[in-house]
Amino acid sequence: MLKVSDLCKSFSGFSLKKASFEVAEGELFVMLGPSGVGKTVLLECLAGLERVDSGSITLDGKNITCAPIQERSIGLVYQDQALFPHLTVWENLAYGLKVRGHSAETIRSKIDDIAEKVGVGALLGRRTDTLSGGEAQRVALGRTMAVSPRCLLLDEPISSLDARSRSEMRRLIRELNRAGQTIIHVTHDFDEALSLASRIAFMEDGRVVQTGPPDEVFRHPQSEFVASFIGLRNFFRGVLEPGEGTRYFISGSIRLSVVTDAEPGNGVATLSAEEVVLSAERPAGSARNVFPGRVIDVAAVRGGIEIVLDVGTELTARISNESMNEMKISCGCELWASFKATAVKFHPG
Amino acid sequence: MRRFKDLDRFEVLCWVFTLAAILFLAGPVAGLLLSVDPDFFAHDARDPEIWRSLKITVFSGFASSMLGLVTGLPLAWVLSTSSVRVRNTIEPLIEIPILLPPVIAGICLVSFLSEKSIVGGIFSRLGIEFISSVWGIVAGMYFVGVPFIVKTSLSAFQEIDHRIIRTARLLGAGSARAFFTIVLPHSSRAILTGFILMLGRSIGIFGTVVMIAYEPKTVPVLVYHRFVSMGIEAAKTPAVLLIGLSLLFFAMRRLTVRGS
Repeated sequence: MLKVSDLCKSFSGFSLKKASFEVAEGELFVMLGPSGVGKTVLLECLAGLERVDSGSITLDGKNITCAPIQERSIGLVYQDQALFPHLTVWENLAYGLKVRGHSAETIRSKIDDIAEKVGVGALLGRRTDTLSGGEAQRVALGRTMAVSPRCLLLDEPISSLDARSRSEMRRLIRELNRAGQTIIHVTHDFDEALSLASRIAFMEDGRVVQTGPPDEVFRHPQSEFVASFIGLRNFFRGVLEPGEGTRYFISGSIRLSVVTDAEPGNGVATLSAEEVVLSAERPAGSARNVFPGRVIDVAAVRGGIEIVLDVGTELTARISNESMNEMKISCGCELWASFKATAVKFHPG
Repeated sequence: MRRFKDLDRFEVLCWVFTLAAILFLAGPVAGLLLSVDPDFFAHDARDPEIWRSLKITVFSGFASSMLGLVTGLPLAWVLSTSSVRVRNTIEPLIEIPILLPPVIAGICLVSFLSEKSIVGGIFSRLGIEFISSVWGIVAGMYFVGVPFIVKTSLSAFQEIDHRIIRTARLLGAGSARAFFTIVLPHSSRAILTGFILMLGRSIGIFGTVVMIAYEPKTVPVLVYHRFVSMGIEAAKTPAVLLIGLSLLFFAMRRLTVRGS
């Protein structure tokens, strides 16, 4: 639906260097990268707020690289909301519809609908400076949704919120996406990307270096940059079972013990490769997760060796060169892998 | 509330200077108002010439200030959205009328607007004469007053988070629509302050206006005329009326400031 090819834009501090990616209808596309790699500028280029130096942007097959801002059907919500301070919540929501010349009747019914969707029905008469961060973010989201953009761009919409508003906002974003809204979501927060993305793109130094579904990107980072940004190599999609204290997370044929107070349900579990301990015999320690497996890959990485085991699913461990030499590991070896229940992180989504 | 005996020597000294300054600022105005003979004032204030000049002054003041809004706001908007280099080049020019002595500004305008000059010639062909006319008064007032509108609105425009303007554009507003629905309401208080400051400056300006138009007389010119031809008592009547007018604007300005 949205196709970006070789987008270049140089700025005083940094630049976009031939950024290319494609977003399909209905996707929740998360652009992940550290602060200052040009994510906001990329969004502003898509929205038409910044003129690009070269490259092209097509939306539904139409080239919009140089189209005027108001004719693009792209909505952008800024991190700090940018609500109109002299207008009430209702007037903020209605702004886009008013400038598009809709009738008062249409505006009223549309705003009722939107206000309910984003959960600001009780705030309509309020001044914007009386809103909490989470409320303001909902209003900003509703204001943009009111004009029904083909593609919704979110610039770190969650980073500035407190923990409770965060999970509410994530839920809201997922709901909007499920209702069919195509979303490009920019963040530097790895957890946020995991819990939202249907596809992830990594940005490094003004370029999009890797795109793919979260599991694929996390299992097979294609560059040192992505690997170090992710920082862990094990990624499992599955279901968290109900329970107290140590609970089970079922992913395919394996069952992981996790410690979490999250709601049971679908999600992903991640595990840092450094947390996985390898041994030749079944370990006798306190680790709750113990799996036998066969080595299917051995690779040298910066600061050690990565061993990929088949334990019913792929499990990556990182060990030092010394351990490697002592244990004499090679492909086909049978080993035991173990890690603590507390080392597994569960992300609902 | 601290008592007087709690103040140290430095603070006492500061208070002495403060009171002296206030006395010097308020004293002459109060003195003039107190020295007016009410009977003479009531009689003299019926002079039609005074009312004619009051009307001309208020009309020209409003006309020049409206012109100041129409031209000053776009100028301030251009400055606030242009690059630092352009802004640094143009902004000092705005201050010329503030720093230039009013009489010198008057001389500049007379030679610029007289029918023998290019600009004055063009207007003259259109039937607009500046010398000794209300047009000239408006032009003089505009010249010395417009910087107030540009300066106050420029600083307000610069304070606006550019992202709210961008958001308005994203929601479908053209640049004009965004200016009128977001930028202007957001800066309305500053713009009103600039307007009142310009109005006050326009109504009070003597040096510039007198060079362009001794006739028809604005109130400051009338005060001067009466002072040199009829003496100080005769000058007091229009002076008191002008003080009243200035106080009115002063009160309006305080009200707009209080609101924030």
